[in-house]
Amino acid sequence: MEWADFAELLIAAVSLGSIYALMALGLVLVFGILRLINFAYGEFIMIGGYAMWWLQRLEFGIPWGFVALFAVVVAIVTALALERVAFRQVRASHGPPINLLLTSFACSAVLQSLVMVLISPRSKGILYPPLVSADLTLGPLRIAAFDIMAIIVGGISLVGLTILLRKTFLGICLRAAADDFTMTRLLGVQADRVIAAAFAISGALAGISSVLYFARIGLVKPDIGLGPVIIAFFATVVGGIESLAGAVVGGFLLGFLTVGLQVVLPTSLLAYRDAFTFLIVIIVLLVRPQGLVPGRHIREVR
Amino acid sequence: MSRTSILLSVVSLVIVLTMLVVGCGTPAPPAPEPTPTSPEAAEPTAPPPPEEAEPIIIGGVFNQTGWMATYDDPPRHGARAAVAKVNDAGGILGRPVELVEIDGKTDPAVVANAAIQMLEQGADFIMAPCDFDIGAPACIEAQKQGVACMSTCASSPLFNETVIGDLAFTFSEGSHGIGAVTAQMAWEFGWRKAYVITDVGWEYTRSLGDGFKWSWEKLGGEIVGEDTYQPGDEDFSAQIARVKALDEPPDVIMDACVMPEGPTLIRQFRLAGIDTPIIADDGIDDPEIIPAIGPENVSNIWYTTHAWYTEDAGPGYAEYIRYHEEEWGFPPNTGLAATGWDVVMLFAQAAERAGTTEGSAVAQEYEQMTKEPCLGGYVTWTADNHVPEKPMVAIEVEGEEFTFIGWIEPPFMPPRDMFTK
Repeated sequence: MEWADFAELLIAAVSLGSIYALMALGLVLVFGILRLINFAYGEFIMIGGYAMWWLQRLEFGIPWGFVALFAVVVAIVTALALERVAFRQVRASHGPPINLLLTSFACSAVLQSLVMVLISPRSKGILYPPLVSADLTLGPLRIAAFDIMAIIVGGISLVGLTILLRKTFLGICLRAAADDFTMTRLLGVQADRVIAAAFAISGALAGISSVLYFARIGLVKPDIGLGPVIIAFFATVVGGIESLAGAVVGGFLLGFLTVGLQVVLPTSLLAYRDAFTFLIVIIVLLVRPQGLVPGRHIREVR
Repeated sequence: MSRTSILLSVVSLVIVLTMLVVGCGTPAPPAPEPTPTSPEAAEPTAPPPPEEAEPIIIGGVFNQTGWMATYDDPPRHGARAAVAKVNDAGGILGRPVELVEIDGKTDPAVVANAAIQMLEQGADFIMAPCDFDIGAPACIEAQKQGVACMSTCASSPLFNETVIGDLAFTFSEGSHGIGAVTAQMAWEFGWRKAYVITDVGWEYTRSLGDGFKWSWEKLGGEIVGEDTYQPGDEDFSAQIARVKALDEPPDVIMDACVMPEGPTLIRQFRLAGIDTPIIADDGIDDPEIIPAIGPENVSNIWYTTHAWYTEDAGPGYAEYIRYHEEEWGFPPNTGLAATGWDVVMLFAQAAERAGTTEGSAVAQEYEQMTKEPCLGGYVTWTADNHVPEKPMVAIEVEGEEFTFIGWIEPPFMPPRDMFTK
């Protein structure tokens, strides 16, 4: 293989990994506080796609930056709305944690049905500006512009989230709540607000990843969120579900596995690619049961 | 916790659970006849068919929800337009025609129940969904009741007289035949070296890819490479790298695909600087592929599909487009819609010729049809092949334009038996 081919594949893997990492972070943030794997998370990404599609169809010639921002805002609003209407009510009933999981499945089904009925069950194309839908030539390299966008935006988002969590009061509250929710509440932090904030950030990450994700695939359909939520779930588990860094590591691992296996496997075995991916994930978990980056919580219990 | 918030949570849980249960396949009630969207459709211009006669009921099982809706909604539109046309012309056998529609919800059990319900209401003919797995249950129920049944665009070679029964037909070329037609198109364009990429997640795309390869080699073409991907794939950089690694670029890349991965693959190939002509099947017969691929990257793309929607595609199109607009308020925008129109019109012809709507008599009339003209070119069924041989249209996609190129019919077809094992 030429070095240029290798470099192109590497860029594709890093770009895919960045998107997966953002998706996984959004999932793990809420899990850290609520112990909830929010399976409606994929629908935040789906809604982001439909938000872009809808705004473009208005044909006012809205600048694309605003369209992308709108996707993020709609994803945040959706996340906050679900928290307020569904999860907060179920949480307040003090039932077993499994009730929240069930609620997340229900929310996912409701949101999918809503767009199916209100918009269409058929795929809708999302238009990106020529700057994003272009190929860049760098010497012998031909790179899709969306790969570069994913790496840059993904990197900025990761840095932004780190600053938010480490340097702001809200971030400290979120980390404290993830560490020991009861203690945090006893210290006077309002549970509802912290949880709502976690959902809002989760929605923002879903919105950003939807802008990057749809630049790759170009189309949105009602059940498009299933793939991302499964990937995010696996990334958080293999990376270490108790840690934010683990979600990032897991996301990049899955990005590299997806691209790498597609290259390495012989054609006759390509149909079993996903089986190989999950086999590797299971081997990682056998060697490191807490994931690649165990969280503080786990270490203290030991 | 206050009583109101307990109440609120109970109510919201009940609502979401109900939605879940309803979504899980209980028999559907008959869908109310949707009201026409255009004001013109409310006032029929032609005289209504005789009112005193008992109506002939066409039971249309169309999936209006679930992934099949992409392929079932356009035929539903076409079918409704055709029923309006048939009634304007005096109905079938002097009786008015009524189209009863039930949503099959992309669920074989719901589809079967819908067919049973329609047959109990006295349906004289069943229109089945556009897929073997989802659509066959409707025809199996019709077969039991001795009623003829036709799928609008199921392309599995299994949708035939031996697997389902002598009353079951499909209007679509078999998927292996679609592959053969697509190969013929590429051959006529003068290409000789093909690179075939197949979505291995569907029986449809697999036998389509195999049909393409069979015909391509029989035509004398060369397969210079093959690759695969799976449903849900969002990264094609490995496939791109393998095409770039070829010593010389192929003349054409064949993408045996469905939505949404088909256009996604084309988008990523173009953005990686691969400008080789790409051909595909009716999986990309959707106007949404333009924004999906990006208008500035849409170039050198062709595909084959069952029928078309512009007047230049054939003699019957002007009337079809007019009825579609009157019925729905918008013209057809995919080739699939014409399949619904054709299935209704061909049933009307078969019933008129048989002098009855009785299943086996109608089926025998279908089996007599040889190059029967319709929007989809023409169609031939025989007693031992209910998966028809028919031409398909070649479409060019360039910039934001879909252009009708012409009708394609291959000189030979891959044997059906190769794909029914």
